[in-house]
Amino acid sequence: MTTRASDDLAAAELRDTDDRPRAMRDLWRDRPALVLWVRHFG
Amino acid sequence: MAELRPHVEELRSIGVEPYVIGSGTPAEARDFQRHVHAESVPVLVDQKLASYAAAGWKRSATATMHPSSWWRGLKSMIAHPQRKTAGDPWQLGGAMIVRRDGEVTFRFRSETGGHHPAIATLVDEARKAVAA
Repeated sequence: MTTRASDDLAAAELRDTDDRPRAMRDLWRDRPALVLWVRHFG
Repeated sequence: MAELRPHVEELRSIGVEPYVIGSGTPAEARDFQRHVHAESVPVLVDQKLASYAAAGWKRSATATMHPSSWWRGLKSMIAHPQRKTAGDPWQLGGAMIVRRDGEVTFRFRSETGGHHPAIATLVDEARKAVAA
């Protein structure tokens, strides 16, 4: 069974390593995305 | 992320793009990317934790420090020596595979520190997501 990514999740604003904004929904716009949220960078 | 690195090209050949999200700063994300030699994996930051909250990932000091995480943490530290903690130390993570139409075909929520999905599972689920 699948669910749909919530609007809140799709709208979450991220930033890349150059500090440029990136909308979460853009991650799966062109192809399926495997998204891994890590506990921390370390 | 170090465990993911050898499988990045396999995932891309399947048709799935991997991303890593952390809660540190962009500079810390870049440093982390270099430290684990994974410059080919896009690393993004969410300092407001909005995506963590929207995804339903746990934020808990108790869960993060749960005894079940100690052994995993020790093994991880041996394999990939950890430096300073960059990001929210109590925020646990998770994983999702999201298709182009926004359908989430795989979801994994970390229950304690060091609780991750197996890479083989992620690759298998990536294949299923593309085939569906």
